[in-house]
Amino acid sequence: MNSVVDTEDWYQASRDRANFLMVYIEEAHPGNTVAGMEVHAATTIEEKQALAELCTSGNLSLPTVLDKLDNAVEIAYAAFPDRIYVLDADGVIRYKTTPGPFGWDVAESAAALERLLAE
Amino acid sequence: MKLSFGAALLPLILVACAAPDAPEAAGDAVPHVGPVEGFQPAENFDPDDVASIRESRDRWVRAFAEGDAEPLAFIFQQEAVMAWPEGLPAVTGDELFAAYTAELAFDVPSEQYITDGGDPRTMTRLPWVSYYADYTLTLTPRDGGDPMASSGRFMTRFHRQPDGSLEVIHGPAVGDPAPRFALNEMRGGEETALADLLGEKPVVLVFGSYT
Repeated sequence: MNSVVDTEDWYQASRDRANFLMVYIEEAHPGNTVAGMEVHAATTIEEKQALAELCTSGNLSLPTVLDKLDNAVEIAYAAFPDRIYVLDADGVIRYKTTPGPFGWDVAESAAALERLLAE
Repeated sequence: MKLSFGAALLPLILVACAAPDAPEAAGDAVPHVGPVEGFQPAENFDPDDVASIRESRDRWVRAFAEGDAEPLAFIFQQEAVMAWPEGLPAVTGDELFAAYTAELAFDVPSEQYITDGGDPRTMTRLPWVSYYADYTLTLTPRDGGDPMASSGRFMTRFHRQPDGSLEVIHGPAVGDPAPRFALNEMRGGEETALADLLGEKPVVLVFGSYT
């Protein structure tokens, strides 16, 4: 995720007007070393929890849920490696970024939410 | 995937090729684009073999360079994105293919094509394979405009099926109902259902990971 700060700022600015939920899916680059620790793909839900906490600690305060080991929700949304969806209150998809990292765009997502709120 | 651009675009292509300044051989052949069912990326493809993964990746890269329509159509599905040179809008999947077929001819010296498939050793351990490539190419309008340089990156992700084949993942479209789910919270394990967040306010879903 290349704009954690932007995401957090957006959440703080809009959390009263929309329900935000982060879904921790799976590591995009298992085997990479981050902050001196080699990150592996989770093989148990406990490992996944630990990775998710690492992912959000100190950076993101969004309510966060864990996808299951089968990554079923990620697959249902084609969300790998990262992606934003904006839904209306009826649960209809009104905007989605293209999959990250090339398509990740917090500003566009925020604009889509504003358009939706203005309806 | 169902694509039927061939028939729909034929008149457009004929008109373009008949234009006075149309460059010769700029896509004289109408690409055959039929349904691509399933996926067979390479001869004797073995999803657990690094060389096999590389071979299939390179095959698509060559297809790009050669304008081989069917593999290209397969790469550029709904989920794919490609940025054109400045002044042209970025397009996705089906649109890209339509634009490619109708408006532009690719001129891609193969040595300009750079591939980056990530770390195949990692790919083989996972239930999916991602193909991504950096490209540099020249797009030439069929109506005789100036060639345009373009570079960028595309990525397509395939999921391994129980029989070993790979399939492209599609997400729901704008206007579709969001797939419902219920997952445990990161801390504490309380279950959160998407349905519980709906009703009064819009919902923003942020998918991500650490790396």
